[in-house]
Amino acid sequence: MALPNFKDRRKISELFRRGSISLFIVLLAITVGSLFIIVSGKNPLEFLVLSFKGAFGNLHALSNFIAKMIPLTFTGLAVAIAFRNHLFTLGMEGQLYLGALAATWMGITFGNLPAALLLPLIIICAFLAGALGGLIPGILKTKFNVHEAVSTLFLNYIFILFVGFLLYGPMKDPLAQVFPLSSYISHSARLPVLISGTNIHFGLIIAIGCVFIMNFILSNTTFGYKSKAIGSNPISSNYAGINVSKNIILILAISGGIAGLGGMSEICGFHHRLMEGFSPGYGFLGITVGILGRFHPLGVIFGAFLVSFLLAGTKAATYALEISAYFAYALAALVILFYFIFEYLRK
Amino acid sequence: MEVTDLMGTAVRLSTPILIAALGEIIVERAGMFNFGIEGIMLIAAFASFTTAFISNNIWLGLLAGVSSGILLGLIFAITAIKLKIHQGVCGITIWFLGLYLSSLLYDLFFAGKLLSIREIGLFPIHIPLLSQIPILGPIFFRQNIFIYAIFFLIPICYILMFRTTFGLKIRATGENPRAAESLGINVHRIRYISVVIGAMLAGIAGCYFSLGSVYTYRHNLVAGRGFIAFALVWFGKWTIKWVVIGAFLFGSIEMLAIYILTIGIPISPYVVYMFPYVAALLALVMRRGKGGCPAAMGVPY
Repeated sequence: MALPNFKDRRKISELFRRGSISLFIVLLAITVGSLFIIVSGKNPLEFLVLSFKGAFGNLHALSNFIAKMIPLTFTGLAVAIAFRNHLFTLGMEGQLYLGALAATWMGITFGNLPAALLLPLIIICAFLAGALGGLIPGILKTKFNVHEAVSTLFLNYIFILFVGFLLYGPMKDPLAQVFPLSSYISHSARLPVLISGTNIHFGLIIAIGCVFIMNFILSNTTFGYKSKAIGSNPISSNYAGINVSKNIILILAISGGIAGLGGMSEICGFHHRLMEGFSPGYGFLGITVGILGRFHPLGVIFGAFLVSFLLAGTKAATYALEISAYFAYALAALVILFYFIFEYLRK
Repeated sequence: MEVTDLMGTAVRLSTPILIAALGEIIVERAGMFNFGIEGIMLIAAFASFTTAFISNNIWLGLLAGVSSGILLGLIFAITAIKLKIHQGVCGITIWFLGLYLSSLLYDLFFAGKLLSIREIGLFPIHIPLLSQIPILGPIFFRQNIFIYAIFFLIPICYILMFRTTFGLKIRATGENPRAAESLGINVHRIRYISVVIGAMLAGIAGCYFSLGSVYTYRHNLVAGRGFIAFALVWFGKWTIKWVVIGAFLFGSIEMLAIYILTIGIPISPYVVYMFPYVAALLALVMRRGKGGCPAAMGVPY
């Protein structure tokens, strides 16, 4: 297995070393990617400058950059929790949609509740909806022996189509003529903006809170210890008296719930209504986030930082230079490949 | 629409899934599992379309599609066999690379325009005499060359897997690589070869979409058919007979979905689009039990 083995208490220098490896891999991917830019007849240096401007150039760009970090942190954390226990779930995208669906439904139906009551309810419901999306592959894996990577892929299609069905049918905003959109959620269901004039909303605090809570749970509780044991050897864990099935389902459900929170924060903090394709692949990019964060909850924040650079900065540059919009995604895919090659070479 | 037309459509829809699944049987029997076949199909669809469009030659397109698929399959083989990375993660990587590289390169070549090779695409060929047989003729013998290729691929795969020494070596590698090696089998070489064969067949399946079905390319053209092929192999318990039957069932489900939409039953298309994926999930659940699974599948050696 190429997945790193984590020690709970690490020195700061180790943290920096791992962070610099992730940074190096992203830079390597961008360097290789600039070959494409040269082939398409554009200047790679100009591209790099535009990427930095697109992410950090002005307050608007920076706020956009941080706003994109929020859902990436959620999905990256979902990936980290599952992958570090050797559960290769790919269901983040579908769970994100489920969380968003639950948040929108609550925000419209119970719109007249006060924010102090409604927001916690929405957060719980979005978590539960996402957790449902993790529970199904968990049960399929433990009871029916279906690999979670395959079942979550199909569930993604099913959940996203289900949201599409609702948006064209029961949840469609009567005022929206062309695009399938839901109505706006009530003002009491919206997450407060942290810095006025920007897109940076309270979801950032929730995301970072989740990171630290998960870090505590995974490194300081018996559940964290058990899940780690199952990840490294399910058979001996079973002999040691750990309920393997229960823990696998629990891990997948928590992972799904956190991805669901990502959908909630996008709706309640940013879009304020549900629409088709509201996520530019946050679920799948979460895998790159998790890998760059080396499947550690705290590392996920740094991973989200790097991937958000691809999504905000690189995408702005591709737009300005009229390069394909898939460039940023191809880089995210290259990052995964390079990470594994790098892991191999380091050994 | 006549029933035979519908059945013919079902055969056409099951073709790419079946071709990819046949390759995946060989891969998994050798102890590997590659759900990057989705990515391989995508890159093959792109490469074959682009080459065919530029060179105006469909056979060059097919060649380019298959070789690009093999190239991506080799990346999978190297990361999974040599670097010993978890095969599921390798599969994800290959899928992503296929999905986004193909669309990126397409934009690079054609700036994202929707183009067509309708003039030179592979069209149905009516086989003389055979196409006149009632019922069977319209279903099987008025199709394009990919469907005829299937008639040969099924027995070839069967003979390769179960009637040759090479097939025995593949199966031994998948069941117990250590024992296989003690008999002088080069486990890594067998696994490389089977991954390449699987990638080649997935590549042909990818070409089917752009050269023989829609005659165009767009982002995510394959839309999960590679994953369905992957699920099919599990559903069919790694046997060719059941995979063929399963593929036809999937083709029929997809055909039904299209049919329901065309005759105008008041049902949301989104619900109808769910059918194949729900069916794939059900197929995986109904399989139950571990029987037939190559013992060393997914274990790096």
